[in-house]
Amino acid sequence: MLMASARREPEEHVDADEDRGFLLMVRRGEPEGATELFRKYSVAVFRYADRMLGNRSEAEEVAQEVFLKMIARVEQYDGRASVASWLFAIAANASRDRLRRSARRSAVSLEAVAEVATDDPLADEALAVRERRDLVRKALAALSPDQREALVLARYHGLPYAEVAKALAISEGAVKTRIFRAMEKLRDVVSQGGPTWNAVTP
Amino acid sequence: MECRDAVEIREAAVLRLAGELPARDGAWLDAHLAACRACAEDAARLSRVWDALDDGAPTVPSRPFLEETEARLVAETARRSVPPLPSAPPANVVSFRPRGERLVGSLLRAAAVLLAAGGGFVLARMTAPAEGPAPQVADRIPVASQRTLDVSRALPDLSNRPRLANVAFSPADASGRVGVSFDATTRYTVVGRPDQKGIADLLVYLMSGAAETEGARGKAIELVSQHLRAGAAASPEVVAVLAETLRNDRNPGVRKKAVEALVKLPPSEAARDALILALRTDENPAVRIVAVEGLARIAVALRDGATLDALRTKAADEKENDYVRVQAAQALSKLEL
Repeated sequence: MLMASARREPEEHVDADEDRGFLLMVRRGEPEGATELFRKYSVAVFRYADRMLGNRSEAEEVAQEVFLKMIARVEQYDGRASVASWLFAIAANASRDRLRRSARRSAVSLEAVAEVATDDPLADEALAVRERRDLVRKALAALSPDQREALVLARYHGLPYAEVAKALAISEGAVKTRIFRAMEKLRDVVSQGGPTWNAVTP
Repeated sequence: MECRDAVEIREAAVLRLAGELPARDGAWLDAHLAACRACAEDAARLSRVWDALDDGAPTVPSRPFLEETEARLVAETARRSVPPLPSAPPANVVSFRPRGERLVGSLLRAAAVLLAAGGGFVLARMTAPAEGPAPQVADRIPVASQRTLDVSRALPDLSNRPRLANVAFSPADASGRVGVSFDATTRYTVVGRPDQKGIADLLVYLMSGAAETEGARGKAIELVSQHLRAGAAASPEVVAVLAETLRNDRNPGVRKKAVEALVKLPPSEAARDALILALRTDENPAVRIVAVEGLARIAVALRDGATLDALRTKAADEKENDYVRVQAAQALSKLEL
């Protein structure tokens, strides 16, 4: 059996030099440097936080926190990672803090998010797609935060393992292990999905 | 019975899904999967899981969040800005006699001529400052290597100077005066508000190509843009210069400033056409983002087919930046309510 690589293209059009230029503008106190980076990465950072926390409102709060910290900590950026990875690193820390503080388990809120993504309930296909998304959301919520953040960055945001490692301040080997364990766990959970799963993904 | 290499194969399968499997291991993995049914089924399950993680319709942040956060970022970053101009003129200010009606051939017209000439630098002649008897203050300056000019009183002679070197800008002081410095026969600093004609003309002149560097062109556009935001009506020449810059400037940062200035203008066909072209063809996503935001506003005012078509095309373009698509889709949904 031949398996094709399925890495998702980076969500945003990443231009490392351009991003560093924008960050330099932030250092100089030029607001458009911050707004440029916000416009490029706000959706990606928001989605990362949403996938980690399963709550849109909290995800927006985290995304705002990320970009405010970007300004406050701009002098700390050392250029070793891309600006995108640096922003994801801030987002990962902020999301972890939220998860630690939150008494709720993410599985509950992730189900709530899945309900938001509702398609036409009268269409069989749309219903199946919605159920599949519910299942995936629940499976994702069953992962440990460490596994989930590595998988989310690689799968949804198209970051290479090396950049995931920089964003999470861990080794590439640790990234590889976390994603592998996450995939094994997802396989086990999703494989129990029953007819809907089998019908949608023959 | 599980294959004795099952774990290693699963690891390789996941690496391939993530695009991380070294090319040299690809053939080895494929050969094993072709020969081992258990591993092939396992790899297929992992592949289905990976595919199922594609959530199809990912969530997007709300517009109030985007607007509020952007405003906060502007405020936070501005706190880091550089010190303003000194309130009092420097000691080496040179007073020129007011030129009054002797000022002919504005720089604004020069910019329009430049554009009409297709890029050739044909400068309208500006009358040189009246030299006459040296003002008293100049007598106290041994060598006038630098001159600061109040734009309400005098302008340097820029004829035969299609390019100005070492252009620099000073941020606005408390009364809104900015400084524009450049090298001519001497180092000039022209001081005034961006809405004063001499400064406005000088800025248009700079952004139409007279500034040697991209940074200076961009800053000139920025100052013009700030002036426009203050409520002054934009002349067709200003719109033309901005549209030309957006179309042809090689620097994305300069094009970005041009498109930002254009979207602040009252809706017009000229601005709309420039924005549509930028949305369709500009290779820089930051430029397209501003263009789509501007078109979303223009669409409400004009409700014309060209704008709507451009928005529909972008909303459906899967290769486009998510932010651009979301903005286009939101604009359309509002119009269709």
